[in-house]
Amino acid sequence: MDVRIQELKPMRVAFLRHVGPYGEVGATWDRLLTLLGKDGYLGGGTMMLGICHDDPESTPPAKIRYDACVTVGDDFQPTGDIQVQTVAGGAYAMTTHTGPYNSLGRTYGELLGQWLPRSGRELRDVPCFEVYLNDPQSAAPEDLLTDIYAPLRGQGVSEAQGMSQIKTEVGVTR
Amino acid sequence: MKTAEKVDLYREHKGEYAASKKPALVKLGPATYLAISGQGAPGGRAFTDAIGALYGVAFTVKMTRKFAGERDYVVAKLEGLWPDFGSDPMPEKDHWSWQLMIRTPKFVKQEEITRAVAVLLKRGKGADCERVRLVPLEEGLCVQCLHVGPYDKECATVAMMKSFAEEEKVKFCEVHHEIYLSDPRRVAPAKLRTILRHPVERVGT
Repeated sequence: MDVRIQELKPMRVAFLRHVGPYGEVGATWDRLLTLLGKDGYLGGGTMMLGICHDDPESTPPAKIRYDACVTVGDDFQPTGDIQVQTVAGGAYAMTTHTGPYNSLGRTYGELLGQWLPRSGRELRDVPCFEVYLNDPQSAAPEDLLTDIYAPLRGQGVSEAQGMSQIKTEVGVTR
Repeated sequence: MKTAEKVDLYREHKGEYAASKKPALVKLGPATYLAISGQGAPGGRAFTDAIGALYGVAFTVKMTRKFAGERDYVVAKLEGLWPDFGSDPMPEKDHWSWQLMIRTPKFVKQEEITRAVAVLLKRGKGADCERVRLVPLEEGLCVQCLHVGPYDKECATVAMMKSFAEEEKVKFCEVHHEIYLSDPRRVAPAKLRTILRHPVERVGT
């Protein structure tokens, strides 16, 4: 498995939370992209991320929390149920998953269940996240590319940063 | 209200995007593109900013339509016209002219582009988006070939296309056209897939 250690800067993202099976996140993405897109927040280097808060192995599908996120600048203010959070910077182990989203679990399993124990590194107490490099509209399922980031403790990452939780800015409800 | 099925121009015109490593003749019908023109080295600041502006307008137009319940479509792949390609002598890379384009359904109107540009300008997005226009293009008969490899090795594929054109009793005219099937940020140069297209005319016309 090809895994690289990357030092990331914190990323400010606008997001909508989905609670339920991973297989049903599409509608949340559709709504987020439509609302942000019409206001000119897509294109030109925007990244699309998914933050996975729960382990599907130990969490009932109906209770899985997933944040569909788009990187935004400081000018974006929370609106309606679109909130803003900052994805923690610091050290991450990154591997690229090639293939349909419904087989992401296998790559997570290899990264967290096989690579991590052998690496001598430990996970930080922040969620893993995914970066979607293409999308199902323009790529066949077997060509979908997803970078998976697992947060690592120590070795160049300050403990304060390592332990920081995702900071959420509260939106104004319309 | 039930909206019509999402339009995917790449699938709808599959025949126009069919290309193998062997050159072939294809007949292209009229098409509309969202386009931005500029000058500078590929991958340089002007080029990258233009791509950002083009996609910014493309997604703002698409999502505005979607939000309003109007006909939706897939944002097509990036394409480029390179007027300096093959000229003798070729200008320095920093002075290459280009037109970057995204094929767009005919039902998208210029007013929608103007509105999207206003939204982006209000957000403080660069003035580059003001240069994005809807442009028609009808290339007619073309020689087309799939190039696999780095962009700077295209000359060999183009030479093959020219030989094929001679055999077919046609000659290159108009402007060199590229359709980018791979993302150069994610795909190794040796594996980049690009459709090369060049309009041709019958010899003697």
